[in-house]
Amino acid sequence: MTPLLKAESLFKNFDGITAISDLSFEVQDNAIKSLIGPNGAGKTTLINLISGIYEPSMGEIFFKGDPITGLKPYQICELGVARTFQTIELFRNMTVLENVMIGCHSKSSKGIVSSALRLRGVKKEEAVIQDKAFECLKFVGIEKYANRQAGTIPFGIQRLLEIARALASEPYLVLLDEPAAGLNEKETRKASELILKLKESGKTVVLIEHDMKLVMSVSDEILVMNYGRKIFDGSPQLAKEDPKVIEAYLGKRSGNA
Amino acid sequence: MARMNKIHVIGFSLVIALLPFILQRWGATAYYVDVLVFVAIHSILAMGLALLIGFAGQISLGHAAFYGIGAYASGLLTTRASCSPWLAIVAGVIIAGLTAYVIGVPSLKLHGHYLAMATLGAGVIVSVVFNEAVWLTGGPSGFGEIPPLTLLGIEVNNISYYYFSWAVAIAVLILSLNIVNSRVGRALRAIRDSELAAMSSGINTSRFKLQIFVLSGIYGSIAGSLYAHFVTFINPPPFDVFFSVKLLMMVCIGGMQSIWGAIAGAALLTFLPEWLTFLQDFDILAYGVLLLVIIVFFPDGLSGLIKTFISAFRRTAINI
Repeated sequence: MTPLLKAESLFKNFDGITAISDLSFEVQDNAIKSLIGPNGAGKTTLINLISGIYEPSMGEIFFKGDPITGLKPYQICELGVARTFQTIELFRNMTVLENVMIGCHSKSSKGIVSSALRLRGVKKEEAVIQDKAFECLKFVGIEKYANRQAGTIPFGIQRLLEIARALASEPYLVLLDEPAAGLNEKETRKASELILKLKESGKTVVLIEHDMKLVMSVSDEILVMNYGRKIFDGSPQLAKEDPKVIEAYLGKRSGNA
Repeated sequence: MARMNKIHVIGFSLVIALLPFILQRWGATAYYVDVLVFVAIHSILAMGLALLIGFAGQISLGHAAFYGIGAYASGLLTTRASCSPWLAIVAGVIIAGLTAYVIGVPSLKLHGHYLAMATLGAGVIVSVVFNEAVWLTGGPSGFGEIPPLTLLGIEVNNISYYYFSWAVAIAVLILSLNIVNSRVGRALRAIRDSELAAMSSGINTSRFKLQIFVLSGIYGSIAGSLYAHFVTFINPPPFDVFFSVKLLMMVCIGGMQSIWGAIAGAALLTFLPEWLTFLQDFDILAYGVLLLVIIVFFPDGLSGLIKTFISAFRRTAINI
């Protein structure tokens, strides 16, 4: 079976600094794959490569078997790859519902001319978009905030709104960049339940997360990165015992200890 | 939302329809009707710029160029090529739209100050052409005898020009409100708030920015044609960079994120010089003070001020 996502010897350089080096991996359909590694390991860079924000310096990315390298972010979204942002990139001056309605953009079509002239079908499409957006808010459980301005809702809700917006584009693959960063314990538990619910609903998830408890409990596979390179790729159980992973996280055992 | 808009537009149209009669009863001179034609022309320009700045979050410091292109297209084609004025307006729209496209493709890749500089440069270039292509434009002294518009064989002038220009302005208003309250308007606001998130959510950001830039260029050209057939004489100064800055002031004063605000800003900045004539050359100082006061104390402009008043009024009404 072709993997849903496949990367082949990816490289990304920024002015001579190598952020990603010779990285290859696969993500199977309907799996949860976590990307972990120390700060600066290149995890977010990798998400930016997959979602088209950056173009790889070398290498190729395949989605459903087709190359997507060099496509624009909106094209990659149209193909069915959605993402969230570690730094929270909401449309702060728009309502929560409108934020999610933006997520429906790629699955709707009315352009500037039909909108300006209010041609037939515009109103109907708006109603469909609104209903779908509300469903997505319900899915992540924040529908009661629908009419609040996105910039004014609590931080934890903002993280969930990022996920709801991503879901609105009906993606096959969701890239979650630290969805639990800054959340308290209760919120983190809810986030992990939500990630499993995504899988149940048929989505594939690539997850960057520093909370190891969360990572270990939800992941089917773990990709460990350090200095832009892959140092481990496999099951969570094996990751815990891998000497290279332990070294990257805890440092090398010194000779006389 | 859409229904409220409809009510507002109908109410506004009624006010515009009755305004000349009201002014007459108050004993205002016919001159005020002329000023109101300029309010309509400036409103069309300001609405285009508000879509670009307030909604898409992109700046243009060269918008008078499109105004000039419309005016010169109408003026030149009707006088030199004895083209029908209506055809000339369409030609102006096409030329301005293409110009906006050509300027927009490279410059809309820029952000913030760089985009401001690029559009400023484009505005200066167009203005230089108006001044220096003497064989075509008559240079700094301009040219006159632009024929008036005729509609069904009747010449559009004075009071009928008032109604004609406002009919166009209200059509532009309706189009703009429809865009703002649509999928496209939502996409534009998303680009303003976070271009990164917008493109990752499936929005072709460069295409939308370009579309709205071209549309605002087309609005500008229509306004320019209205100017040419109203004044019947054109020379470069009304289309120079200073006017671009004045347009920007209209949008800022009106409240950038409001189409209605653009009309309010255009009205205020068109009437203000008439009221400030006693200050002579110092009127520019009064502008400066006004702009400062609004930016510092009412960052949402006139439209924000009116909204605050309405909500305060509602609150007190409930308390009583």
